[in-house]
Amino acid sequence: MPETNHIDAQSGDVLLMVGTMKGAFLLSSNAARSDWTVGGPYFPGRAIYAFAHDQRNGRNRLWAAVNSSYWGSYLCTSDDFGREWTEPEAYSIKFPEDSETALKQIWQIEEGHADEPDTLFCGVEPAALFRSGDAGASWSLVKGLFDHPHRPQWQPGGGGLCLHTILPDPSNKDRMHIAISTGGVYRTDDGGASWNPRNVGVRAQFLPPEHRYPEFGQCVHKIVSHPSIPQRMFLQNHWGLYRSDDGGDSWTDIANGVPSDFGFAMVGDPNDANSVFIIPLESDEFRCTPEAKLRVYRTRNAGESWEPLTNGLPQENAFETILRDGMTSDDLNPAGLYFGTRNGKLFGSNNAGESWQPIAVGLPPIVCVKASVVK
Amino acid sequence: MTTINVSGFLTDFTGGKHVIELDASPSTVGQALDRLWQMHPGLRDRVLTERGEVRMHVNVFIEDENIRRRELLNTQLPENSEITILPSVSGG
Repeated sequence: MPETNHIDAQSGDVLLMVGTMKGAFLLSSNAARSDWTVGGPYFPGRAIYAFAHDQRNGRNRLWAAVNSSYWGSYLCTSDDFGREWTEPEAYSIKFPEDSETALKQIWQIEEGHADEPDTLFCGVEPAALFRSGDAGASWSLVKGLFDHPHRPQWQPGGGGLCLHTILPDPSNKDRMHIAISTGGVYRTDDGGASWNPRNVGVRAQFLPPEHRYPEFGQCVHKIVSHPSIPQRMFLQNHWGLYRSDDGGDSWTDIANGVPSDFGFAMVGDPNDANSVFIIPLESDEFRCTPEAKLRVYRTRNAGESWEPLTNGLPQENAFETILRDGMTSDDLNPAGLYFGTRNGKLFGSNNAGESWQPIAVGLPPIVCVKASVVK
Repeated sequence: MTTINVSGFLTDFTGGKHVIELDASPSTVGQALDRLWQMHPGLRDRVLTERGEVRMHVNVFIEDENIRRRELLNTQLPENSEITILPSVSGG
């Protein structure tokens, strides 16, 4: 096994959690976000599709979703920035015995509402949501979603039938949106007891023309919202870019001036509710950056127009793929933006996308990038 | 006596042991593994799914025969059997 390096992170530092198909890496920098120390690889040989850094209630706990093609998918934690990881005897995310379902992979780890600092959620494949109310000590299946009558009709996308996005509403602890590939967006307004599809206006390009706007079944790749305006949401679809101003009740096409409305990654600017970043890919058949140019596109007017951000990014021979959790932001001002590619390149910007620098190259294929500012 | 061989990553959950001798006389592979989980609980979720099925990319052999070619966990165990748990050919 390769030698593992470790990082030291102090209060105010920025932590990057990078999951790859062959292990995980942790990177730290001071608030300037110019020079990075790289730790890892952790879990060599395992795929890490989800990361979280829980700093609520005095914790300093990293969560990693570890997936082995042999030994299954499970959660590990570290309280010292990766020097020691738990390797639990019994896996904590399991479907009930009577569900006739077995976990394939954990796709997302998300903190609950601010009023519930011990609540965590996991989105998994096959599409389902798990909740913990005790900071991850125990988990239970959210039955209201699992028992949804639509569930038998959800179909796996290219990555599998996954629940990949979890968006608690900061203004309403009973409301949450989730996104499923391929099932679409669902929302609960009663703390998870019941769920309703929220896909009006979102097309399903892979269906016959007269059936392209179904109630559910869209292949939604990512949804984001800004804490200050949670009812305004943005959606990167499997073909399609959308905005909702009514909490997902309806969606409007905002693919104005992008080279392709196909893509996976989408991130909001934490300092500007009108700014969103995407990285378009050419098509579902050729999932690489259009024209072999690596361009992040930004809107500053909630999707009325988009502009390419290219300063520091390769503009030729850049056949890159950025997946749905491959881009993220930190919470500083200006925001740091970070994305990783399936070619193992990690890029960062310390000025909300105005310029970019390579942070690391030669990593295994990157599937997940998360950031936090250390308290 | 039934013995069970494990290797590699799984020995993290057996205290480093590669060979586990069962202090029981199980009649099926499933019974043998149930006893193994009692002795080394960390092995169970790594070898079986929550549905109690052998994971897709894990193989369990009696001597040199894969239990997938027999009756899986219901496969009968002769006396003094040797069970081996191995990862299959997988990955990329």
